[in-house]
Amino acid sequence: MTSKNKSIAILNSRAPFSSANGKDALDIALIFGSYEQDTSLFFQGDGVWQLVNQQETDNISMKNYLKTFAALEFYDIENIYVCAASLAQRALPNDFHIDNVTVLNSNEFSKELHSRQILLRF
Amino acid sequence: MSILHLVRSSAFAHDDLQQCIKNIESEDNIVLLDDGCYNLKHPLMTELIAKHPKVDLYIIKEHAKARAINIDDVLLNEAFDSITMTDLISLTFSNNSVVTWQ
Repeated sequence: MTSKNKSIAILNSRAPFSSANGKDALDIALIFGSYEQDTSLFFQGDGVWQLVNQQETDNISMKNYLKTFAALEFYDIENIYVCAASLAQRALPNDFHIDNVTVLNSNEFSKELHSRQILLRF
Repeated sequence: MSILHLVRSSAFAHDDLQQCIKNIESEDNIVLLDDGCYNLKHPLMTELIAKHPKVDLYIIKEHAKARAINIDDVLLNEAFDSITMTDLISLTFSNNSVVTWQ
């Protein structure tokens, strides 16, 4: 069966440590990446906390899965979008622990999300 | 490309609806189901209707009924259509993609 690959959006909307959502989303992104699927990551709402720089999990008995974000570029996942309004609401600077992050205003963010064929929200 | 938005949580407790509303385009469809039915008269809904008058809004009849949410007066405004789960399945086919907000 021949079928054109579908574009996939993974929308992150939860903060990193209180639930497994963030780690699950990253795992799925890397799996899609290893099968060379066209995958993009979106961060909105409390999801933007996942990208904040200098988070230290040493003293909260948790594995710091955020370090795995650095692997995204090796899986050719280059489209990483962050909602500017969500950052502003939380008084967060555009300072992230990974490179190649694109900050978009709400309209652009929504347009990018709509242009993907499959949406997975975590 | 239209998205079918399934809103399943109450905006009085969670910010899922708020995030959903940030990602609406005029051709999208929104369905309130489960605890999402509590959003029927939430100020964010009024805001959404004002901002995107063309967006089709639906509420699952049985889910609203189970929560004693009176849909009749809202339906009179023609803002919402009350639908069944079978109708919901048809909606998944008439949109390009589906996203669940919960």
